[in-house]
Amino acid sequence: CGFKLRGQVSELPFERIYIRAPAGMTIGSDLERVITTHTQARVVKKIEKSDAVVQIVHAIREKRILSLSEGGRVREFELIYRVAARLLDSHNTELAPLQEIRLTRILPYLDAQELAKAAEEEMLYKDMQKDAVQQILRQITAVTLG
Amino acid sequence: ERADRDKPIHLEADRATVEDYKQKGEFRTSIFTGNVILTQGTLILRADKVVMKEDSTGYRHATAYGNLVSYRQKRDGVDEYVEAWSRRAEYDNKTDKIELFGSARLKRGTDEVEGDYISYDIASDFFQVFGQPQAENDKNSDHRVRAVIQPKAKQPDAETEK
Amino acid sequence: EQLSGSGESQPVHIEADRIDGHYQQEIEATGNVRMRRGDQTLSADHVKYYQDTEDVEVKGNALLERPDDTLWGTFLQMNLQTDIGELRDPRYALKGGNGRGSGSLLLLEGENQYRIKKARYTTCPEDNHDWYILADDLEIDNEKKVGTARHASIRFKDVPILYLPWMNFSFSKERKTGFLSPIMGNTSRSGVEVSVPFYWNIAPNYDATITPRLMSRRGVMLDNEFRYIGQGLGGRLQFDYLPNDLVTDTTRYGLQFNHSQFLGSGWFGALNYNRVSDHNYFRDLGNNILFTSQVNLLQQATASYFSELGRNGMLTFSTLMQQFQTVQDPRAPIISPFKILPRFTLNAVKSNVYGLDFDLASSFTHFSHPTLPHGLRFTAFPSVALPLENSFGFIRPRVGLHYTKYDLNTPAFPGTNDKHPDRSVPIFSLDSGVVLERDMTLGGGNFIQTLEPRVFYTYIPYREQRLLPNFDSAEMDFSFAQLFMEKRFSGEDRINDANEITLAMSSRLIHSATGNERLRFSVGQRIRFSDRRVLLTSPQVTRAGSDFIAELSGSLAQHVKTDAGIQLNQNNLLIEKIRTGISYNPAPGQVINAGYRFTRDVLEQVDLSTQWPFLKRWQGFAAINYSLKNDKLLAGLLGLEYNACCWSLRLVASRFTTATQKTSTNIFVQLELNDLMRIGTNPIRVLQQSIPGYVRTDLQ
Repeated sequence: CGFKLRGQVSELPFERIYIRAPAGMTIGSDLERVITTHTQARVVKKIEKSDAVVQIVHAIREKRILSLSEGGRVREFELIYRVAARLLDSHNTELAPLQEIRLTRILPYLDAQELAKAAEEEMLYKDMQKDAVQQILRQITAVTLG
Repeated sequence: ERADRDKPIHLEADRATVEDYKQKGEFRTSIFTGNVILTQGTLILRADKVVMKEDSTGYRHATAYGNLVSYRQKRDGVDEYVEAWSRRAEYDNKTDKIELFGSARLKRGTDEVEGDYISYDIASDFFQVFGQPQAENDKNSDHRVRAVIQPKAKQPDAETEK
Repeated sequence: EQLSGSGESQPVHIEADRIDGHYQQEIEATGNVRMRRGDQTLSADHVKYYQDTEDVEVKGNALLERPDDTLWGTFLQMNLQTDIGELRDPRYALKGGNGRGSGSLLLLEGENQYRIKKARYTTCPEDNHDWYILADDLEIDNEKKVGTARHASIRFKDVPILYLPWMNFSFSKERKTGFLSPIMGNTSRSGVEVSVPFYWNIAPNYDATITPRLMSRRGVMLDNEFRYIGQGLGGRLQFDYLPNDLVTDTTRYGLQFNHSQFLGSGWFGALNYNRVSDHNYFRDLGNNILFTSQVNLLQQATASYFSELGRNGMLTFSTLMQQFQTVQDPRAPIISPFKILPRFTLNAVKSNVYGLDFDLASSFTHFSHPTLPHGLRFTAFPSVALPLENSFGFIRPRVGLHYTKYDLNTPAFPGTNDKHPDRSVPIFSLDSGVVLERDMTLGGGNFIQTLEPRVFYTYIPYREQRLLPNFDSAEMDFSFAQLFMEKRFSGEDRINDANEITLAMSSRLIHSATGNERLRFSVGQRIRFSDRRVLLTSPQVTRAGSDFIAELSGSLAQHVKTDAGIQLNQNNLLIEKIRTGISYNPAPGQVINAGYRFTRDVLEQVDLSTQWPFLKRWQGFAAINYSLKNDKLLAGLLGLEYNACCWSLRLVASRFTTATQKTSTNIFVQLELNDLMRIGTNPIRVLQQSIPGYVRTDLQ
């Protein structure tokens, strides 16, 4: 049915990439690991040495009440993770606008399990971050220069 | 200046024709043509043609024509000049008034007025500017009157020249 | 350069039908006069200009055009140098916002300042008198862009709806110190409410809003918000204080403080402290579900360090001090969570070391609790993985050892006297997958469709853990995220035994030109080779039997998005969980959401919400969250909004459950006079919370 194996390594239209992510966020190093393992490009530490810059514009975690119990307590939260990236050349001009990635997960919630639910929430956000990084990789591989 | 009126009038021109005033009623008419220059004290008038009328009592009435008659006179007691330009200018030293017809422009110190007709009373410094259709006006005159008035130097010493 | 007309004197250009005057004294121009001085231009039928004093008298259709405003009148007498004078039968239009109006007399009081007697002010366009302010005295400060009205009454369709002895408003978007528009409302628990917020723009980087809140049944409360931002830091303090609640005759307060700051060289600190005076504080004084639904109020301080670890490694170290104020619902009390005083966490990841990926997760925590056994806990979970990747797939074996040691104040359970239990358990997993792709065209666009089979095996030997305390472990919700994880319990106190394999297949539709994922369908099943022996029953999570899961998320068609998932019990094919949501959002301001969620024995709910415009200027809002299990409306909202060209009227009724058998019904009525003020209670936040995709449309 026309399916062919896609190699784990995808072609990027540039060799040396610099990643600019907001300080204190782990999404930058997740993206670095995915680029080094899944593409032939190298991640450089100095912007001058790069021929493309992937900038994480924002990576925002939001939480919304999804459903309530009969007693008005929260039973389900909807966790929302929004990531927007931009692809620039080393002179900071935008090569391609990338669409914001919006992911959601549902976290069932019980006030009595506050600590456990906080750990599960963190796990769900980490899972969304892994998913978002894969999608960013897909977005930048789709960019054809020129 | 006011003292100008008692000063003699000198007139130069390429040609001058003088007619005795007995025949022309009370006036002696003299016509000067060709880059005429009339001076009287600090007053200088340049024109292409000037018609001068004098009556028996010495009062004179001058009419100057030119492709822009130019008039210049020093103000009384102030180191400032009055200048004027127009197609036709009439000066009457009995009323000490000058009238400018056709693309008239009057400049006093740094202030300036322009219009189709200007009348300027030298003694009282009173001027009137009208935008009326005149024979002398060129077609594109919009019959509007314009004035530019510079700010009065409040503190003459402190005010540096901007 | 700065061309302000007054200040130093400026040349004056006059144009008219006729001009006469005495030189250096006065100039009189008649016949559609136009006069320009600096950046001010004046036109009228007749103008008299006194050159030495720079006074000017203007008669007949006077119009004064200035950088910030335009003034009309019948007679104007002013000094062009000092900008002082008066204008009779004035009309004015401000260029800052679209404020305009008229009055009986306009007094020019210096550069950018004037005062209008018997003033009318509105932001409605020229021919529209829907609303206006009528004030005895209106002062306009064009520099600060602030208007101050005295003895002002606001008339809506010529009906006076509000009288204010004094009010000021800003007609530019900048933050201006001054009273904001009054907020009025009515709730069953505190009666009629009127609050008048005062915004204080202390400095460019910090401001405060002090809101006296007068409640007919409870008395006067003071809500204060203080915000600050600095170099790499920022925060917000909210302190609401009710000295004497007339109903409960007690002092009540609510405090929320959060602060975050980059401490330099990789360190980041944050503080989040919440505290209220009593258990019913939110239910009595809060009108937002975000607060009334809270039981555990977080009180936490963290400092975390994050840095690279060589080529592709990462190190994070964090310290945490955390406790909660538990605000009990008397009918459903819970045990308050353990306090963490403190916890140190060290996580490190180092990949591609001779082809191996190393990972360490470790923590040292001191739990304390007023009643339950508590103490210290040390955990460490080092692991190593061998990622084997080639052109068509990957295999990733991973092995780790999870070690935990406790040091408790008393034995966790009566049956034992061991205060120092420990547990070490090896964890082995094997992840493998392949990605297949093919190009296809769908609806005119070309896409890549992927097929991603994946097999994940986990083996964790059984360890007896019934005697271990449980501080932070619970069974995690079975989901696609959890399907490829070794651990089934969150936290560190319980490690599940496992001899299971997960088979999964997901297929994505990716738009080739942009790489955006349009739709994803995944299905997965977990097969257990042995029964699970470590159990941690949690009322909310489905019993051990549910192992089959299918999910679909993305856009089904243009403007139609969906997020749906189903879980079946492998043995009896009983549906354990259904989560479906669909939203149709053809344009901003037009959205319909529908959702059905079922978790066996826990909840079964339907929610619907919509924002839809109709009849050109109207908008309807509706949202319901109906519990089929308890056959009860948990939250409902109905609303209408009318947007005229310079004002909007919003009517929203919202009802939600605040405690067992207690609901809160709030009516929001808000009249917004564009760029001036909002009168009434603001429903925007409730609309944003209850209707996903809600967008304010009156801003265009």
